Amino acid sequence: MNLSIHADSAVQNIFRRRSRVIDNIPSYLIAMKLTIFMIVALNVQVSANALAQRISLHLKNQPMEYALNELQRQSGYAVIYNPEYLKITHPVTLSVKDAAVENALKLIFANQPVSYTLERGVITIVPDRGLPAAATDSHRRAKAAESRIQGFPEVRGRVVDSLGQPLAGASIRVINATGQRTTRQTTTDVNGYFALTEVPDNAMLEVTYVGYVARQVRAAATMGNIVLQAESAGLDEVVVTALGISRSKKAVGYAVQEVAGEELAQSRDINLVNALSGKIAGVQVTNSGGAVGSSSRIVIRGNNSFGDNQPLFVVDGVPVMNNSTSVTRSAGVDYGNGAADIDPNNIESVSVLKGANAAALYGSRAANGVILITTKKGAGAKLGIDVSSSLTADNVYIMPKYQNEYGQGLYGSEYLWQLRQPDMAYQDYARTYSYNYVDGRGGGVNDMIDESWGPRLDAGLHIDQFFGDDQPWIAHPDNVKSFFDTGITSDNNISLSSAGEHAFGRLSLSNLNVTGSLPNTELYQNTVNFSGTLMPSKRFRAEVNVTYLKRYSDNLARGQYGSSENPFMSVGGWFGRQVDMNLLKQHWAENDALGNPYNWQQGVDNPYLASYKNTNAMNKGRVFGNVNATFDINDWLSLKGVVGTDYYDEFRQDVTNSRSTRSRVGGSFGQTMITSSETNADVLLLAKKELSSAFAIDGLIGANIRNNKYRSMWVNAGELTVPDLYTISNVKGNVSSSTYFSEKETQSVYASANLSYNNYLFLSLTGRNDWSSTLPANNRSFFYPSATLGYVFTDGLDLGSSVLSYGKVRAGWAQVGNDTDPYRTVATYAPSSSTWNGVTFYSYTRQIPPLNLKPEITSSFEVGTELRFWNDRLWLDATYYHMATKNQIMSVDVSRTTGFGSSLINAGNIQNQGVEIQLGGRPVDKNGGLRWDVNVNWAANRNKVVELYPGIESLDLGPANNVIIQAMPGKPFGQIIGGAYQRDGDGRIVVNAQGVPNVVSNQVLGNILPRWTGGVSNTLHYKNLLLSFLVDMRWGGDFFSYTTWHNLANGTLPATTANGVRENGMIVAGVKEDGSVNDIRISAEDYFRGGYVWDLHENSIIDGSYIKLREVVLGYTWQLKANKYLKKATFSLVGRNLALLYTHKSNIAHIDPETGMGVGNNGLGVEVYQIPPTRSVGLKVQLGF
Amino acid sequence: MKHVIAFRKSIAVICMVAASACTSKFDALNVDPNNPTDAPATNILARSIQSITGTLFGERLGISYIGFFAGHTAPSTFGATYEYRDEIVTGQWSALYYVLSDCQKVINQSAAEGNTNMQAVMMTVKAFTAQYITDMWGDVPYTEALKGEEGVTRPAYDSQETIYRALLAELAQAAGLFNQGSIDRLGEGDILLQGDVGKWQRFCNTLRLRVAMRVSNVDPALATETIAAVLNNPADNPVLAPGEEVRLTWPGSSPYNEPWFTYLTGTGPWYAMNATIIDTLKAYGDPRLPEYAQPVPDSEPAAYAGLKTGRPSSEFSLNNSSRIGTRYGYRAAGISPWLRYAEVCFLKAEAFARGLATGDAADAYREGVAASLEENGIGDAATYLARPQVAWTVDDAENLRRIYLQKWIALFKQSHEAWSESRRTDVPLMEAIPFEYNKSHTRPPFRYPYPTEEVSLNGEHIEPYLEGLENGDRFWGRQMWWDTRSGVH
Repeated sequence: MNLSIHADSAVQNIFRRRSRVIDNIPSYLIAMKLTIFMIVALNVQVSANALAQRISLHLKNQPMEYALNELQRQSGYAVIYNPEYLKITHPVTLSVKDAAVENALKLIFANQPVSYTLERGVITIVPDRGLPAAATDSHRRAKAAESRIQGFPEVRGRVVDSLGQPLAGASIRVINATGQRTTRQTTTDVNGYFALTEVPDNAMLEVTYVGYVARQVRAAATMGNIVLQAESAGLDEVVVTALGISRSKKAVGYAVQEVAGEELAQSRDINLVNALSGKIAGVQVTNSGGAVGSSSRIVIRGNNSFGDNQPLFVVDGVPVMNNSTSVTRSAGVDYGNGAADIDPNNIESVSVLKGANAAALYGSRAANGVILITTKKGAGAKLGIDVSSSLTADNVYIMPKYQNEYGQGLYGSEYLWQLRQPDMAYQDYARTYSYNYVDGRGGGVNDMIDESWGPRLDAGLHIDQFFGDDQPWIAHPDNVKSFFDTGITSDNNISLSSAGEHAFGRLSLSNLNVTGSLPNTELYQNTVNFSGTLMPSKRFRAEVNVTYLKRYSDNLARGQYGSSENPFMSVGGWFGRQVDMNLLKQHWAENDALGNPYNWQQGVDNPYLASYKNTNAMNKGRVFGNVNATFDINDWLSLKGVVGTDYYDEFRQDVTNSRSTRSRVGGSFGQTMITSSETNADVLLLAKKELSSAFAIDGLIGANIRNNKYRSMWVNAGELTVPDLYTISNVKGNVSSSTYFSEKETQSVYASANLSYNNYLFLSLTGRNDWSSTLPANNRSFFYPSATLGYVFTDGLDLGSSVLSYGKVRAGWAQVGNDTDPYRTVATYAPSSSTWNGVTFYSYTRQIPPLNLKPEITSSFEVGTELRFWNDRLWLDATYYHMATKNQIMSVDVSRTTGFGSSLINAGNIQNQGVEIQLGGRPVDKNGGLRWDVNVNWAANRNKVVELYPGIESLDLGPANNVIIQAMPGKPFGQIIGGAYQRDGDGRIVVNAQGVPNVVSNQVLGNILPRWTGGVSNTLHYKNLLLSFLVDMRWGGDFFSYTTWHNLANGTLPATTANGVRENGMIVAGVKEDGSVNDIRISAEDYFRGGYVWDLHENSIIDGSYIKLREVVLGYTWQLKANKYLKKATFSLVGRNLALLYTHKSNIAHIDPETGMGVGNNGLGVEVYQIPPTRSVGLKVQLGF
Repeated sequence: MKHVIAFRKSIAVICMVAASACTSKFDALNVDPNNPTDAPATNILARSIQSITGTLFGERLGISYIGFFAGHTAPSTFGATYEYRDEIVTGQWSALYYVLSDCQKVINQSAAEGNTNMQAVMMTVKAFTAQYITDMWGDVPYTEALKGEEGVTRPAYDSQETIYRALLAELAQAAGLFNQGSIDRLGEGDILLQGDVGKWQRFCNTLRLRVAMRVSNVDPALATETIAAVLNNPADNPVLAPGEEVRLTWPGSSPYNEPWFTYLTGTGPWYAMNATIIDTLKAYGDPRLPEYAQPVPDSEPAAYAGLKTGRPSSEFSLNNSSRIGTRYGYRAAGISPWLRYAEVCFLKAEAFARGLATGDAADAYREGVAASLEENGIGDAATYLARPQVAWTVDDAENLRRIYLQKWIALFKQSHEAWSESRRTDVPLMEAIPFEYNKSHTRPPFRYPYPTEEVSLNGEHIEPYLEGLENGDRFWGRQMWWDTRSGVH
């Protein structure tokens, strides 16, 4: 939690108050303070790690004293107070989980007549609004109490949980009559018993045990059983909101959901975005396959725009880039999305601000929501060392299905044999007409056919094959699976944190090594993260957060479609089912007898040659972070400056080896160098003031300048003089090259104000005005406001009861404006990337430039409620929202006959409305025994494209990938348009005179949007044992599967051999054009491989519903003796992507139904020979020193 | 409320600072540093020439698809039949219209600047391209096309007749512009004719003959008139001279290798020679055979065999068939022929033979055959011309058929023109394709399929052209306006 930035003004206030008061503190108090400080200091030395920076409190009408003791116990901070002061305090009710001490303090002291100071780990209670008369002579009474040396010679008791089970190792500490914690303490034995001698009269015993609510009980000679209650399932009471400001969730009028960093790091997914799947209601994550380092798309509350729909990522209050490579169907290495660079080891928490409400202060890019990441800061601990290490094995877990009955070739089915050459022996027919290898280049019989329509396998045939003549023609059922290796992911992190009088900080080093399941794919990342806070004076605070990372790989998998590019394109479908993968693996570096690269045929590369020699390397250096400083002008006003930057450079090199079928002469290669940066500078004036006992206001005004720069250089040599020497001077022919630079800037002013009334009614208002360099001068400036209202009706109407312990309703409205990319307002000519004998080609832009571009505006409205029942045993957070994005800046395709491909216009209106539900509860809570927490996230979004542009009936959301993904007015975003079977009035397939189905084009085949998404997480605690698992699901959402489409045509899918079609042929169930029932028998090839199938897409539309067992963690934590070096050790077995529990029956190829292509709108709804995803299982060790 | 007022004041101050001082540089900041708003005409010319050639004479429209339709080349493996893929069709449609658009840009600009040579050259290039567009698709947008910037985003379709008339008018106008004697140069970007304005003029006039002859069956008057305008005034309207050819010679280095070479040596030997042309050349003892085709591998003595489109690949093997000849398919610095001198002769021969113009058809025919042979390095045409299947006869109809056939042979590697001419003349007779959804047709496709994208983007205008065309027929389409064959489907 970034309290160093944001909790500051309040804390500084208190510092000042204290400075006024301290002069008046009676000497006895100072003495007392010193004593306690020494005690505490001693305590701190014994248990350095006890200075935890996060605490959890769940109090319902508890005395202030109790609250402070609890705070002290958890935080390790000393608390100094005069008990008299506490007499005037009100009971405390609050619930915080993993909150910073400062935040917890603020909540404890909200609306209290006393205040506090926090300095050097010591919390001192100070009178605030004048003490009542009774308190003035309190010291006398206190002294009198101390002087009575009576008490108990011995106190005995037993500590048990609510089931009566003994709690061994519970701590019992003596609290003297003045409420001071003493050094006198003991722990319970294995049976829960304890004994203490010489306990003073009127003393209290504080009983604490990890995971249980501490208690104070009055000392007595015989205590009996002291029952401790297990800590309740807390709510994320304090949340990080826009600009990184921590606010009580109570006060927030829109939907926010948090995920603890621990939860993300626990079952490490190397892409942070994937780790959010199923954990946040209304967030949809689509990953682009199982290749190492591949990107993932994240969308909150549906697709709002025809442009980018991904949320803004913000780290420690400053935006970071989530750039990704444009992956298309036919080309592209997926170099990952920028947010995947963020190391979960450094994440304290992730806060998802879902609507535009939450994000008005971040400006344009926040219209799709904000993912706010707060890094660990190291406040609190005097010295802490944490080490964590995990090792997981990654294996392909959703393998496509293949038939194993017929091998490579054509016309090899028994049906065609009987039809064509019934007099020939099958052995002779097979070799003569179906398949026989000579050179793999067409010299034999169908020996360069990369399909599996050949002779029957395991039928005793002997056929000439690539590895020898007259070889047995047998199935290799695991040949695809055996192409994949076991990938290994190791993740190691060490962090050091330290806190002193004027500074605290944290340094973290991480190392991530991943070897992929595809041969020769890998990824490495080293991350250094430093966070430091300086507090040289009480009015000034400065902080730096910086992350530097190096991410590199010698080879990332090339995905998508294109011979030999994606090795899985051939292996995964365009392949002979009889091929023995082990032979390819053993001999890929060799040549065959004819001097060609050893392979099963010569039209594509040996998949191992492709994997080892056609490589895609990358090397990225990235630094992001910010420096900020806060100065308190007076006790209610402070000034803050923040400068944040995100910069990376990335080198990429793609190589084609000279032995590859893709190579022309000598191999080829290309290099790309990218630098990209975003800099944000903000100045803020922050205010916080209580206007009266009922009204409080805090607010800010600020200004921002944001500058984005992008530069790239690309060189390519299509042919090489010396083979496989990948230098640009070794080019044969011309070098192709290009350079690109772009810059944009926005300037903004913004303001926000939060008003609270009696701490149960909250109103927030924000406004922002942007000036963008990308828009025409007259439309450059745009303003957008927001307002939210929250009402805790259980407090306001005093409705709180034992059944409904908390209830809140909230409503919000917001607008967000958005600009566009630079240089889009004027038409230009584009040069070619290489010259024709020195002549550069120029062509005119293919986009009709806009006449008067305006900013686009997203308006959203949401209402929600938050209810807690039975003392948090059950809770519900529900939101309904409606969002509309109008005046979209969109590129609409126009008929190419206009001379252009698209036109940039302002138009369109997309509406999303939906419901998000978070439901949590604790079905089982046996004190000291089993504790079971359940969290359910569920969200349904309904999208409607209300209008496009007058005269435009549909908008293609990306280039045609055989199917077209369209927006159509009145329909949800993402209609899948393609070829369907022609059907009669009764829905029966119509076949032509040959008995083959007719196809009609341009039909709606499905829609890419899911009906709903959800996740159910379960956490079970039993003593020190933890078991958690997450089930993640999606209902609905279609996509077009190339794998299915092609594997039907190339005869590798089980459907192509099912029901005896290759033995007996088949009659398509349907009718002839004249309406009579079809009775024409055709071969399986005619049906599956006929030319018509390339116009037919209906047979490859897959319902993307799934249920997945996403995560399982089984952990055991040892809380070791506090005086040992090792204080805490956790061992966990972690599993990720463990099982596909459900997939729709339309998924006949059995591919990952979650899959997408790239992260832009371009790749929506289409799957192209996706690298199968992997299941990760491993061990994680965390040590705390 | 003191602080609220303070907020307001501060906002006002910051707004003023931000709005006035800082955004003044935004106009300069948003000027694209990568791409100019203006480019030299010669570089646009270069791009147009290369783009047309890459599209019309590349793999898909040269070897594949239209090469198959023309009976010159054949697919050797998967899809050993006619097929089309929408994305490829879309790519070709786009590329060709983009060329028209770039041409029009330069035409407008040159006209405004008085650079009439450049204007005329671009009009010629545009007409050359536009004719191929309409020959591929028939009725397409023309008069309302290329006006995206003027707000016409859904251009109406013109009939092929309208387009042909417009083409002839534009070519006539271009021919006239060449005669204005402007001194503007074409610059280094004339990668086709190296800045030879005179040759451009001759190309322009020859094109008028080609366009006229195409419509000669449906609008003989227009054809006659045009032919007369060109041939009767050779001083103002010169046509290509003997030995002159309009062809693009590729640099022969990556990435500008000749496209057939790129594909045939790159992705795999997907293509072989078509049986229609191989059988014809063999039957005629044509000396061009070893130039057009390679012998069947390992055949001794050299034997030639073509593939029959639409036969299942179990009936042939690549190793039993002839690949495309080295001269045409396997030279990195090879050529893409736009218009050859032989064609000039055959155009004249047909015009003379059909009485559309006055001249000696037999002479023109022989000159055409000789020019084609010579182009292929064969000096002696007499032997070939004396062959019974080749020699000029007394039968007019047969002579005409021979003109058509020899023209079709000479058009090798001009698959597009060969396909058009075979549709117009039905010579040679193309076999029906006994395969799959091609089964019901007796001729290769009549036109190229419209891209699906155009259907969705300009539906109201294109729908009438698709009405009644189902499935395979959507691919086949209907006959061209100038295609007067009857009884074909």
